[in-house]
Amino acid sequence: MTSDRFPINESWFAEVLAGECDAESLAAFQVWLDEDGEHRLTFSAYQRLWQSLAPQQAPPLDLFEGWCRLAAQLNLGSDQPEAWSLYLSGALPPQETARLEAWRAADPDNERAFTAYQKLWQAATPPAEPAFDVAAGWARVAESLERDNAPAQGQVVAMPARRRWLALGGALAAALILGLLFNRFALTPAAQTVIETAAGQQEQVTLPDGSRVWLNAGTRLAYPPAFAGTSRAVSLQGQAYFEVVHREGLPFRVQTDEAEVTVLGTRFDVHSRHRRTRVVVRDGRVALRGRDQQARVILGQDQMSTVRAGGRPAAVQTVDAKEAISWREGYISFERARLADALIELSLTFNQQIILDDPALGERTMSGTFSTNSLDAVLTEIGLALNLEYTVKAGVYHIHTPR
Amino acid sequence: MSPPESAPSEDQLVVAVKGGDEEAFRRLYFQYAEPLFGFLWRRLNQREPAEDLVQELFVKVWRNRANLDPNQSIKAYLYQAANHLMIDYFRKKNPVQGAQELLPEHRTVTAEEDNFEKRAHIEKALADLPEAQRHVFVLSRFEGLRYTEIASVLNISVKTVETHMNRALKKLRHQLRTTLSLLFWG
Repeated sequence: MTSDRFPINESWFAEVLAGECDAESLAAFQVWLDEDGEHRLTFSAYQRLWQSLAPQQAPPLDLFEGWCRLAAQLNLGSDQPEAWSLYLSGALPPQETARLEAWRAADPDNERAFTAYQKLWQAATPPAEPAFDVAAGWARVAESLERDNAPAQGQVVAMPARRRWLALGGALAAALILGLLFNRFALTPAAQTVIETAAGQQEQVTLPDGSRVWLNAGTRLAYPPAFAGTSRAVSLQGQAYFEVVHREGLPFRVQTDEAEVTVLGTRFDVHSRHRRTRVVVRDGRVALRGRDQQARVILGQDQMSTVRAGGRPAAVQTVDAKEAISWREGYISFERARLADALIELSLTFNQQIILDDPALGERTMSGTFSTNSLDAVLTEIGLALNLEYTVKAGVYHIHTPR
Repeated sequence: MSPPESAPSEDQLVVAVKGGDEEAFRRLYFQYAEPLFGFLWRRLNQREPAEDLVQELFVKVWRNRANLDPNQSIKAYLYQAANHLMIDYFRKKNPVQGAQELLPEHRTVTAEEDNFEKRAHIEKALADLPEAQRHVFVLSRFEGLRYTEIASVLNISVKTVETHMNRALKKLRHQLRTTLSLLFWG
């Protein structure tokens, strides 16, 4: 015991709290803690002090957009946006094309970034631009420039004029596209931004408030370029998973054809197809009501409810929310779904036509979670469960009773 | 609580980036862009400049990749660069005053989110710390940096980091005694 009001060097507390202690020091500290109830009490006060000084969580950063910007600015290799524009216009040399396609296939994140870019590219490309003539013309200019400038980089050796054009032309195209990416509706400020995914496609979108949305295949999301007024409203057809950033006094609304979902800050999945909206909440609290209806239900973690067109929300059910949003990880999940509805989902997910030979079969119900690797595997499993078979004719899947 | 040890592959990553490996650079970006953005955002309180500074930071890293030192902690290097960019940013924004006085208060969050008064006290206590102590404390508590990393970010010795940390904790304990109704020994 010393005459100091604190019987122990405070720096020890700092080290423990900052995670600077090695195992030995930590063990010694534990002994000291256990020696005396007062010791424990003193340290717990420091712990509370430490915890009360927690940093505020920053809003989410869209790493893919950030990386695209960076890659465009730095002219990084052929797996980067400036080469993507060439690839999409068919002007990328075969070797680079193969490299880019391998890169796309290597990682779903790569493919996702590419798909997002492709969509912008298509939206921004004038219909009848003869891309290759421009390329040839620029290659000639680049060649004459090259004579004046000693090659600066070692990589330029293989195809000097071409590579240079790749870098410069690509950077220009990337600047145009990325300009659109970050200021999508600059020319028509009042217009809604509309993001649509085709069958077999998923996409991630960051909203103006930093909230993030994952769109499943065959989905349409519309939102304003900036959220003004007293709420943040978006409209949705199809299926999307939302991670909404909390904004005090600014509720977030999702409008579907059938229902309106209101939240403050939470994560949830909205599925609006077949004249029916289903909401599953992963965490937080969500209010759900039919369009033009007063009656509403409040959903908490792992709860679900549905609204049919013109109706009121069905009784709240408990579900596994993780399962409901497993589509983001390459799974598709059904819970007491009509077979007809399930097949529509499957044809969107796999971008594949599926036909019920006898429409009456569509009323059967089914549950289950399937990997979206192979449509055949999914249909085989469903077939086993419902005693059905499938046949592929001219690229179309037909579902029927066993023959 | 303790920040993760730098993985053994970290030096290899730095060596690869130094050698111009774009995939390694991509991994570096995906690993550090978000924490660095958080660090900058907490100081700037605004999304866009923080995003732009992260971008600028990685552009600089790539362009100056030849100068990367695989023996130095890349994390410390990145935070140091972020810190410099932030000071430049404030200097450009307001060239008359020194950058230091312009750094806004650090934003904190308390367990009871609705308790504004308490939060204000905590932020005030943090803002009242001498600058050197505050920097050290924030890098440790908010950004999870090790003492050695903080030392290279701020270009001071590890011993000095320790001293600042201890003094900061002592001051905060004193300042927030009543606010947090903390019971201390004695």
